[in-house]
Amino acid sequence: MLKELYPILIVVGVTIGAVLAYLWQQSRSASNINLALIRLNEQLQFDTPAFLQAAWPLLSQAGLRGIKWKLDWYGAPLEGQSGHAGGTSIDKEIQVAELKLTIRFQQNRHGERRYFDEALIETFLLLLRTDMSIKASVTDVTFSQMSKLTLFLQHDMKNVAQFIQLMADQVAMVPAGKELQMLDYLRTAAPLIRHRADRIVRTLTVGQLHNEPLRTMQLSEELTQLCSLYRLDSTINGAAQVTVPENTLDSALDNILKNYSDISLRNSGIKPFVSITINDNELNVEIDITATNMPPVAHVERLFEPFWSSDPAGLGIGLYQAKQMLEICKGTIAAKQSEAGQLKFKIRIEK
Amino acid sequence: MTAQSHILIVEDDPALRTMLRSVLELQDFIVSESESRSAALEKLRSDSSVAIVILDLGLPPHAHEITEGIATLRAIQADILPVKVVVLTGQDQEAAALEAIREGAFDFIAKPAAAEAILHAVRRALLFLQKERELGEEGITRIAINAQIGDGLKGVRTDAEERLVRQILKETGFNVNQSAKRLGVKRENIYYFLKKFGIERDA
Repeated sequence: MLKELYPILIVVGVTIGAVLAYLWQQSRSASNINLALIRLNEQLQFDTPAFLQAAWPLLSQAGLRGIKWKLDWYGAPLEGQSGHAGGTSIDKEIQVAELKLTIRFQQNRHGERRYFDEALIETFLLLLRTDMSIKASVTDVTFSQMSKLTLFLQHDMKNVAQFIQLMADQVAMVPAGKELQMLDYLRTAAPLIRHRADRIVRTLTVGQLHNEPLRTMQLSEELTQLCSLYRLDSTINGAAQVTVPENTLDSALDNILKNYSDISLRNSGIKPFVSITINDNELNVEIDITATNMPPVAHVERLFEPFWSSDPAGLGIGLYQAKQMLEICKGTIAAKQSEAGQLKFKIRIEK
Repeated sequence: MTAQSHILIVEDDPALRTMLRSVLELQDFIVSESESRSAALEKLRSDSSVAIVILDLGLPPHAHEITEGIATLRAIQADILPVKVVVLTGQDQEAAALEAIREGAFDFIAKPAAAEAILHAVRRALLFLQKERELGEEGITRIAINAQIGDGLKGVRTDAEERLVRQILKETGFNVNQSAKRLGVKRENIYYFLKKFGIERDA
């Protein structure tokens, strides 16, 4: 009896094997095409119009009959068509912010092949949606950062312009006998406006400082001057002399200490006390800056991220810039917050 | 009143503050400085000799917006401080000017402005202040209200009433008897107004 079933069992087994081999081959082919689509998208740097224009050979290879698309790209209509009409139409639409894509796929395969086609279409749509989201968010972030930067620079530039205007007027109309008094005002105001102008230049040239001339500075003197400028109560222990490119370490220290001053101005009642320790080691100089009477920072790990600020009124490039400047003079900076919420900056400069 | 008049500069930029101080002091004005709203209000509340405030609208903590400057103006108006405010700002000019004038600024100057323009505005403000004080000696009190025409006369009347009562109470040092006398009403009416407008002694 069993012997009589052998031929049937062999036929069934061979059939199952053939089906499995066929499905394996189909799956492998679909998987390869999916991967090829992903790589193509990467090669085109996630550019939606370029991806739409270049994807047809792969989609065709997968068995789709045709594709037709219309893209509203920031108000400019783009469209394309490849392959043939006919068969079953599958219409899809993707909208991300002001970008809108309508796309029609033509396919005429049935059975298991239809499912492979649908999976491929979904992968393709997912890649397109991702590309459009990337573009929209990059655009949003860029505009938001630009407008923030413009706002900051506009405020500072108008103050500088106002200063120059008043200075010119004063020189022209100084009352007789009061020339020396005016000179005294200028002596006080000139370093302050120079400091302001330096800050504007640093903001404009973020990441562009190279080949600055070397400057030797006494760290304790530099820090004392900065604390005095920002009216910070402070204690400075230790001393060291460092020779670094101009506008690097001094600007980084300025950015850090200005933050404390800004927080104090923004929150009446907060009066930070800054403790600075300078260690002159054999191979490097370490500067520890700790402030007490300060509110804790919510995300210490993001402090050096450009355009991120814990304060809505902040531009968010001060510490990012400080890090870059320290890297120019072969230095490092790290921030750490104690359990009590006390923030500590550690700067290390190689000798 | 021009010479030796006391001017408060409210500006967060120390360099510009120093330069403004020099412009004014060389013209024989007495000058004080504040860098924030709280410092300015503290100065104004403690020193009644200040006649003119030169106010930058972009003050910390929002130095790039007009909110702090406008809040300073509002506080000056709410306290009925006897000063004229000249706004000197680089912020979004049209919106800032409108808002500043609405909140009681005497004049609005956009940065960068010539020293002469600032001095002219200060002198004009002093002249107006002087005239208002002279009128005050004659028993005439000048009040400023923002009238929404669409709301009709009732809203305007109520605003004017409140403003006048607050100002007279301020001028009499919250003396109910004197205020009633100056307003030509009974003491009971003053208590009624206090309740109606939620006026408190330290307001």
